[in-house]
Amino acid sequence: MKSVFLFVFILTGVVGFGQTAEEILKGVIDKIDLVEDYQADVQIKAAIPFIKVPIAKAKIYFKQDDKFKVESKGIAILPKQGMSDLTGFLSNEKKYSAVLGEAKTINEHKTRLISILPTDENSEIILAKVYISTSEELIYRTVLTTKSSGTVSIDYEYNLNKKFGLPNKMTFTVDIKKFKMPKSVASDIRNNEKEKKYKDNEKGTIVLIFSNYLVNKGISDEVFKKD
Amino acid sequence: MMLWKNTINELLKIATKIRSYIGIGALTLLILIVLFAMKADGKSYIGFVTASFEQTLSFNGKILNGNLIAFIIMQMLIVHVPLLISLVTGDLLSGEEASGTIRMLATKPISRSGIVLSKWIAATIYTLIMTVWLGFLSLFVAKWMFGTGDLIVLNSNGLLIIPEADLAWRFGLALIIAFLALWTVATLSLAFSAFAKNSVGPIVSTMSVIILFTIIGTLDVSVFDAIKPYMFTTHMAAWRSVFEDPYPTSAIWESVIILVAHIAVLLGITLIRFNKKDITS
Amino acid sequence: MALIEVSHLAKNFGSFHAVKDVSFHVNEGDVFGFLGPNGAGKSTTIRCLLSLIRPTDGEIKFFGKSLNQNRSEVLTRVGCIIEKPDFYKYLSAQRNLEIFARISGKDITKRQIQEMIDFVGLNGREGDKVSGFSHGMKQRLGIAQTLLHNPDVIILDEPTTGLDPQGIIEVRNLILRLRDEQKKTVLLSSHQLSEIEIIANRMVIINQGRTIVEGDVHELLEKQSMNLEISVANPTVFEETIQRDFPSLTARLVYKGTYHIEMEEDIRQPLIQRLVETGCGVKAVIPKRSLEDFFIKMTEK
Repeated sequence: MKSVFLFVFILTGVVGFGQTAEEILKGVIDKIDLVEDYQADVQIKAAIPFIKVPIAKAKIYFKQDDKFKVESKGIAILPKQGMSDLTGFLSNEKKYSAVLGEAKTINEHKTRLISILPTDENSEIILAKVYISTSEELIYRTVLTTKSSGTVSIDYEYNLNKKFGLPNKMTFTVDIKKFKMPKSVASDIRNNEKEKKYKDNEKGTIVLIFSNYLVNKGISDEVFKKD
Repeated sequence: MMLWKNTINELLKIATKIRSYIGIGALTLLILIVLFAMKADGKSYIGFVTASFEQTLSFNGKILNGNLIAFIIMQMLIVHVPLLISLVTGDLLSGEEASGTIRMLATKPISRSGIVLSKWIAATIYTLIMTVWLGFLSLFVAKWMFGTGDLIVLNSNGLLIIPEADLAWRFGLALIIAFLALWTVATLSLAFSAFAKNSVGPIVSTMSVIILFTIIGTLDVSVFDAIKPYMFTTHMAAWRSVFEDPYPTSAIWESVIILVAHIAVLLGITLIRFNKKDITS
Repeated sequence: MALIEVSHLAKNFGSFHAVKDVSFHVNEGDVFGFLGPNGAGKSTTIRCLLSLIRPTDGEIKFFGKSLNQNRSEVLTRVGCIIEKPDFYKYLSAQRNLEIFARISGKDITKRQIQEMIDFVGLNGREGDKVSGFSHGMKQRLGIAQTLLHNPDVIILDEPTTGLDPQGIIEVRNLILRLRDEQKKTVLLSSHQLSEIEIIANRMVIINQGRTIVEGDVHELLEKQSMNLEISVANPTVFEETIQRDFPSLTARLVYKGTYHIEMEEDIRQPLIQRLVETGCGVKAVIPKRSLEDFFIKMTEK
């Protein structure tokens, strides 16, 4: 049993090391391209400094190329970057150059780092570090450095929809800038309490758990039109 | 029995006086203006609330909903509704003095305390009607115009999102506490009314006290720290605490007790003053 | 039986002694005159009677009971107009009466209210707002309000002040009707002795916060000097007659043909008879008695 594991390990390692960054990415993109559209239920659990939010439930819709929609009854907080924009970005190979980097094990998955540098100067993404399991052709971690949102790190877990590269859990870690209180808005009666001192920037996490994926069942464009 | 009969009289007087409708009309107008302003440009207001997080996070779902509008209206109007209420309650005793009807009233077989209490009960009912009207317009009309949804509240320590299912009791409790605050103002203006010969004095005095206490409350000067917790104006915004999580039970109780104590003391002063008063007008 | 008893009433406003020592009693069925010049303490006394002002000293009893301890019971049986009747201007006459009826201590039906409106002659105007009423109409509405609960005692504070002659006559007639037809006891304050003389049977005169005299109006007045104003067609004959036949009298010319005569005793009857006989051409004889003269005389005693 042990030897089987060892074999797989070596094999994936060897295969991994034998591929170029573009080749590894292609495997991932091919998987992504299998998905014409999907919809899923998502549970959003956010732990963000300065924001207290209950667990929210939402429905997400995606359709090629870049149609994406979140439908929630209540208020759902999602990261601005890294939901559908990353896959859209990766699909267009002309927009970036990829550089193969170190090997790293993430949650027991052996991955290779591919650093992606956009060729377009105006791109919101400055640098994307994507950790891809070459054996599974799945992304297990992404670290995005963006112009306006700081750094967003995303960890992925897969379950039933591995073949489409659709995760069942995404954990976002985002930078939250120091919260500035507009004085006129809050008329708290206990305003005079000593204000807590916060660091300039704090990390917040948002965990998305997906369920009830419906992939390639067809979604009307109407769904994305509504506000 | 006499108290009840005179309360009917007092309510009848309030119901037939034009000034009673100035308050309700102004309140309605203010709320409608806010509602239409929000309908027209509510998005930018929301942007202001969520601005600190916009770069990193996206807020999905209906943020600009009836619950948020109701909350905004309550926050905006808690300063102005006292003026509208004291317009009526500040006139209750002094108005009778100014018009001379106090002589007619005080020579009837109802006690002086009966006169004060029936006016106070009528003032309470008027305040209650104003509060209910405020609640109705801000909650029901806003929900009708904007739909319902989770409430996003901006507190001094950040944003709090309260699920819709958790809001009905919070708004109910908030309105009860807001009513207590307005009731205190009504009783204060009634007390001033017992000392005055026309209604201008009590209305101006009531507003002056509110403004003065509010300024003292916001001054970061330690000399006032000892009295701040006991000023009723400090507790006029207590309704807002209901929208904190976890909501501060003991602080809310403290506010309720201080407001009720104010009402009791002010009513006591009014009773003593009016009982001792020689009617010479 | 005395329905109102006031003994040694005093009221101070700070250092000002508005009422020092006022005592009187009003019997059942009296139309009682409460007289005094302006500033004598009439208003303060009446306000004490109606518990508008708390006396500093003294006692007030109605129907044999202390006002202080039986305020509600007493006021149920008293109707009053203090100074002038003031109403809620934004309400109709009928609504005003309904309001006061509700707290009168008695059950008063809408029909009774309408009857009272008819009684004071305001029918047809009961739905109008009081803001449009003249002073006379308000006075009538005030009387309706006073009588609404069928009180035993009616207290009227200067009820004819500000009224036109027609209004004054109406009020006087009304008071007499109340006494004669409804057997009410009326306490009436005034600074005009002539008014009291016409309608009151008993009176008290106060000055500077003190009772000067109390008693039967006619008995008191008969003891006093009588002044007459006589207008004649032949002043020469008149002057000769006075000098010749009534040397103790002095006739002072007030106006052309009009003389003021002061008498120590009431000799009106022989005087007028003589003036007619001598052919003076008597056009008018008006009795003149000023309150000021009267109580200056009273205080001199």
